[in-house]
Amino acid sequence: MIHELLNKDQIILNLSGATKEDILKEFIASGHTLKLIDDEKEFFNRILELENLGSSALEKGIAIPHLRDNFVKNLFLLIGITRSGVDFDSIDGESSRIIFFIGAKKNDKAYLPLLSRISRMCSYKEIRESFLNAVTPGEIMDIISRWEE
Amino acid sequence: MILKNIDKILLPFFDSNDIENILEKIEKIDFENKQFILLRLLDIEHIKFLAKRMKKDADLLISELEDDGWNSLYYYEEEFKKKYVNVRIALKSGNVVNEILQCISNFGIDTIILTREQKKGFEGMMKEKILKNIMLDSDKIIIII
Repeated sequence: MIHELLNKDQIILNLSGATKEDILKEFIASGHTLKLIDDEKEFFNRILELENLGSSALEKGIAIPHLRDNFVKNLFLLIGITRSGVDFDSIDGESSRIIFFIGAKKNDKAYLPLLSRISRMCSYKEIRESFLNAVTPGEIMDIISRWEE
Repeated sequence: MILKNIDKILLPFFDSNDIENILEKIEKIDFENKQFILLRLLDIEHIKFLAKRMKKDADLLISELEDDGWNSLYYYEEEFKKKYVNVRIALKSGNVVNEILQCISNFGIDTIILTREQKKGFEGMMKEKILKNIMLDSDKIIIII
């Protein structure tokens, strides 16, 4: 379940980065502060390498940068909203505004189901709109919990 | 060489066998600097028919199949990237022929790869329909492997 992996500190309502690299660094710094990520530089290099092999941006303003590797401690999820949108080189050309950032240890069995669940959740227009209208992290958590009920 | 005119390649698929087949074969062709878009397709009318036959709630079955579809997309995204292939993913539910034609237009696709593997029943029928419609409605390169 998505909501079980979240607390309010893991939701950033106003990502400030103007580029994909800035946004990734912002998430990584936040993950480091929350003790979810140890080596910021290695995480950044690996996730950027994957992004360069194919952007994690889906359609309709959603991006899900994700990485599973053995240097990651445990499965974690961060969520960020960028009001102005950032060019993640999305498949439909739309700027990404709702961004999920995921890390996991290699062979973590919950990793693919988590990615799948988030992708399906974000296929609903009402969910995307609610995310963008949320003014507190608690609201984002409520939207997810309600959808998962 | 025809590959010089290829930049964005759509790989529509219905199940893992299709994509395994494609993954195995593209390794033998030089697709360096090309972008692949893996497109998982779910035909809603067919799923509704199946749900009725299984006496199962159609919306629930669609949700399960969408989860399963995304799961396979992320799995194969990882497999393609392990081979340093530039890959993107998308899932479309609806009328699969229309969805493919829309993706060709919306994603700026220039090439479509379809598997030659013969399938009976619904998937075989859909593949024929897709091929016929792409040939009729678009001027894109079609590679059948």
